[in-house]
Amino acid sequence: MSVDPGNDEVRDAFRQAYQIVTDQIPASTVEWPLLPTVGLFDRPPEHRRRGVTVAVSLLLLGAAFFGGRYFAGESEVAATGLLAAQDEESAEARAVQDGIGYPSPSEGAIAAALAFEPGLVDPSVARAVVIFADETTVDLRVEVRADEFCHWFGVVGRVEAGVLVWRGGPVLGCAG
Amino acid sequence: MRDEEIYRKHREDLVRYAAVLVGPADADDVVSAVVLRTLARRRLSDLDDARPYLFRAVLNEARSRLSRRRDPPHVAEIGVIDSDPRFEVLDAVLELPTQQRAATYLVYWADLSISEAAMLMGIRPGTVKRYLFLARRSLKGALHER
Repeated sequence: MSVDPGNDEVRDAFRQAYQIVTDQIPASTVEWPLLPTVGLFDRPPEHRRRGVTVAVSLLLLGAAFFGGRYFAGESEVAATGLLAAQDEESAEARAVQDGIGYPSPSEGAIAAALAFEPGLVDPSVARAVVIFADETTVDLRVEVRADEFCHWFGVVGRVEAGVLVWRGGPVLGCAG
Repeated sequence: MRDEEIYRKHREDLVRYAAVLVGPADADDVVSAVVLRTLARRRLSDLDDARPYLFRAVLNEARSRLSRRRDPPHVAEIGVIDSDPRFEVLDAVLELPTQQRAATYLVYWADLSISEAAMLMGIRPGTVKRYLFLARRSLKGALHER
């Protein structure tokens, strides 16, 4: 026989439900969600994002380098290629995916190689979002289309001196 | 206080908050995205009060992400199977609109006052009360059916 639950029972049910959810939060290996603190937190206040067009070099990522490994927390990866970023108001870089492969959420590895060339645009498979840019560095998030289960799977990186570096930045996981 | 210290001070609370909004697997990412975006514009230490700013930003980010997803967080993501007696309640809670989950989490789990919850959500206390009422009504239905 069911009983109309009172407010105390409802409140307890909420507390129990949220305890269950918060108990499932995975332990994070990322203490600070960003990249090495070189420059980022020491920036003088006047280094703000400005409308800049930044052309940087990115290395082609080899699928073999990543194959089968969880990316988050791995050692740094240097990558170069060409990334043409728009200004901060339209901060999506143009990119093309070279067809080597796609991230596999189930394997937790980023298998795709990213090749960026200005003028070759395929935003449906790869995109880079500029988060911050100044004269010497570009912070960006690179996302690659995965499979039907997980549409975008990405990492946070920074370009320094023309080299794209990922250093344990969070794997963004699945997003719609 | 330096930005990193501010982050460390609030991170755990923010991740828990994000977890009930978007699910535990994506919580870290939501918080990271919020902090990244904030730091792109200003220092955390420049904010008069970082805590409500960050909580509001997490809620906005969560709502933005959920609007792009086909489905809200599901009980299966939490690892509770349907034979578990907690399944129906958890399912009902996760089905609540994001704002109602936010309000009930802050008041019923985090034990904040209505005013404190309103500040963190960036809404009026009366609106928090309404969310709580609606959420309680929804969950009562789920409990009643057990």
